[in-house]
Amino acid sequence: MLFSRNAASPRPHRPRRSLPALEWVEDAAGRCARVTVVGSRSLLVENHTGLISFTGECVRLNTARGPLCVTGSDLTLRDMRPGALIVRGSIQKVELPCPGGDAPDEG
Amino acid sequence: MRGEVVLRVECLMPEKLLERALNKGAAFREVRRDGPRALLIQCDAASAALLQDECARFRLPAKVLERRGRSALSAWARRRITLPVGLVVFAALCWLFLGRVWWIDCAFTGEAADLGDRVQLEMDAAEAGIHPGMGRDADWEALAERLKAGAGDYSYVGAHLRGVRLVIEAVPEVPSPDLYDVSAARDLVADRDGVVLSAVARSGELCVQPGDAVVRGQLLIRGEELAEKGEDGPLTEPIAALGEVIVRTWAVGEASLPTTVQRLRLTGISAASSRLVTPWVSFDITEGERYAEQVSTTEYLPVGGVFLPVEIERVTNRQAVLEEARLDAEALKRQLAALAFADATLKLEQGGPGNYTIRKRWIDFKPSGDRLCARAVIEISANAAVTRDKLN
Repeated sequence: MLFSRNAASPRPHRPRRSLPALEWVEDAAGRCARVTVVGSRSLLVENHTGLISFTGECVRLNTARGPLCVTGSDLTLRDMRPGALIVRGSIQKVELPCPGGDAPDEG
Repeated sequence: MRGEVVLRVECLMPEKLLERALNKGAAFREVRRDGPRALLIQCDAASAALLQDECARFRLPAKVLERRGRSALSAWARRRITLPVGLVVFAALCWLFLGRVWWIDCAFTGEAADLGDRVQLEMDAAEAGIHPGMGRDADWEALAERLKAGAGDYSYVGAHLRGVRLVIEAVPEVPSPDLYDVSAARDLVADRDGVVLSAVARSGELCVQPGDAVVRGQLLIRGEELAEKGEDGPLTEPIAALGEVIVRTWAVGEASLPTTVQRLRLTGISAASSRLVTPWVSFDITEGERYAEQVSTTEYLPVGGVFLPVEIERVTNRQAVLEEARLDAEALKRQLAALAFADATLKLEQGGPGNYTIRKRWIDFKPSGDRLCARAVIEISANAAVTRDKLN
């Protein structure tokens, strides 16, 4: 996100865009969540903003662009530290936040 | 080894609790669901302390299930706070114990080790100042020298430390052999019956020749020698006789054993009698037959249990026939040989233990009625020349 919007004039249906050449700037700024999936047993989430809910079947994390949901079975959280964690277990589905989706969940 | 703590946290929104702890710097190794409202959290000790603080703040139950590694070690050390004190006391006691001599042992070595007097040496050691509980830093060489000077009759005395044990090693002096005094007049006589095999007189006059039969007490070497020829014959003077006369002699041992043994053979016929027994009176219930030769067994059968002293005494008589059985001849001969040779050896030992050489040995068996007799003979050669005082 290079340009922030004013919260007083929301535009709910307008997708957030950035120039393709500047996508690395957004990544380097550290605001967007980075998800790294290793096989189907391990998933690294960085730059999340909080844990919304956690069960053995679903892990919901807050990110700058909205909630991130990892679905599977026998899920556990490993190496949990501020802003990063590893989800272990049998991962079946990862739902990434939609760029024009809802605002971040406050938990 | 890093310390690890396993916590179980129970609350409505455990995710919020985790967030609060994370914001304070905690880190969790593993988080696992343990029910709809509980989490199992594995983390280091510092993070566990942060999480427990948060739980205490909101009065949430947080239970430590397990401690591993350094954390467990520190918890164990806190529980065993008296252990270091105990270890220090134990080390001090060990130092005090091992720093002194608590056991004094006397060992005799050398050819004349049997001549050592342990009690006397221990008493001499006590007089020299060696006692249990003394320090290890004593001058052991000087103590050994003092001990040798005080004890006497020892060619060497040494003191060696082996842990808390002091070994006093002493070598008794080998006694000097008897001196031959040629002027002490004596004769040599035979200490046993036998046939002379060889005779050598180093001093004195030989009175027997090889092939002569001698009896116990017979003069073998006369203790005199020719001094000078006088007017009425040769003059002799008494001297100490010296020499050896080897004689051949025999020791006979006898033994006898029966060749048969009587055994009872059961015929298979039996009869039982029973009797009611109480502490006060007893009477027969059934009468059983008795046999001339029988083997009886008695059983006691309780009637009223443990607390009622009434029982039935049941006697079973089994008829038997007395039979004579012959013993194994070879086993019997082996047994007789052992007995007869032991008897012969015992007779030999009466003349002096080990002072002979066995030349030959044999045994004869002869039946005598229902017994077998054995006659064992041991032929030996030995020096039969002894002084008269040894003969008595």
